[in-house]
Amino acid sequence: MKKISFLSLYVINKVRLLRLVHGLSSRTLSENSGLSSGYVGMVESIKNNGQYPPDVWPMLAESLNSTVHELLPPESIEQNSTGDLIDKKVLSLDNENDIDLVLKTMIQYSFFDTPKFLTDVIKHLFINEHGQVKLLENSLNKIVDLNVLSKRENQYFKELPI
Amino acid sequence: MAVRVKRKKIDQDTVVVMSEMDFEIAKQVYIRYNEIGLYDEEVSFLLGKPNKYVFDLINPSEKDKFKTEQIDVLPTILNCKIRNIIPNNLVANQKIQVRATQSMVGNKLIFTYTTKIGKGELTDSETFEKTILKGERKKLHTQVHDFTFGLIGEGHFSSPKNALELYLLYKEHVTQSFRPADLQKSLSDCMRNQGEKVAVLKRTIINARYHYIASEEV
Repeated sequence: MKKISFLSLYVINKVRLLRLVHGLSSRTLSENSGLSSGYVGMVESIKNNGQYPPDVWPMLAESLNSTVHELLPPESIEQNSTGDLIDKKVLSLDNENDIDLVLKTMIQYSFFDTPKFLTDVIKHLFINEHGQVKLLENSLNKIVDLNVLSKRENQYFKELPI
Repeated sequence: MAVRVKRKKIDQDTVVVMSEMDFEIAKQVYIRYNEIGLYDEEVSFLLGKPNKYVFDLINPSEKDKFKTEQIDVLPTILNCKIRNIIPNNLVANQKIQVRATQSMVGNKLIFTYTTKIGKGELTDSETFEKTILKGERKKLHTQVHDFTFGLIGEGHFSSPKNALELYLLYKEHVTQSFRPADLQKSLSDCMRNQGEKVAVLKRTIINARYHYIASEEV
């Protein structure tokens, strides 16, 4: 597996998370950020050790309605890094924990304030593999069981306070 | 001892256009290492780079700036938070034009520069300077050097170690105050063949950073 620095990987994963939450394809984010159309896809690939240099962070932050500081590790997990490189493990919709994180963040960003069918979520996340669909559905139902979301007539939604 | 001031030597203006983010990071690093009393050579050493590395990046007339993997370790080196180095309020894709002049006054290399952000106004000129230390032979810090030999004896250098992880380790165990330059001097001494003295350490490059490892000749 390719290896990169902790900071590089954190920024890649934060950008990918926010990209998915906002329903942007990698191509759209690249173009909105004034980058070549394949740029974000290249950086998110685990087949190379591509990463985002600091000069593109403001462009990415703006395209994601975020700030540069929001792309950086929070102080609570900031490490006294000595520069050891770590495996480039990019957030994956093949991973249950990662899907949980994406859904949790989508809830925070009000995606489920209006009811959504499973197909709406699939389309939003650009999912096209059966395994990922199954994982997504399992995660959504788990969240319903925890009463974080409700489900009625096959639609998932967040109960808003009256 | 009086220092004879050499005649001022001025180079022509250089004009460079670079990303404002890159420029601001370099500026914040310069401010921070001066605040905590480090030399740029020491920051270079802790980054695992040649002595001149940081100076070349800080130079306002040079486009090359810090990479993400270096920013990863700068908070550790500079004893600050990453948000102290990375500005949060820059306009996306903003370029900055830097016009810089360098001059030598005595033993100080002084850069005077003005900047222009996008189509904005020229800023007032700012300076950054570096004292050139010539002809000084640094003495070995005894406790640091003894600790180095202790680590060598324990086999600590059987696997490569970078300068920053060594510096953090020494800070935990060496009771007298010392600088990164003292560690650098100690390691350099251990890498030198001199007369009957054989180098017990050697330096190697891993992931574009210097690492130190026991010499096979021992």
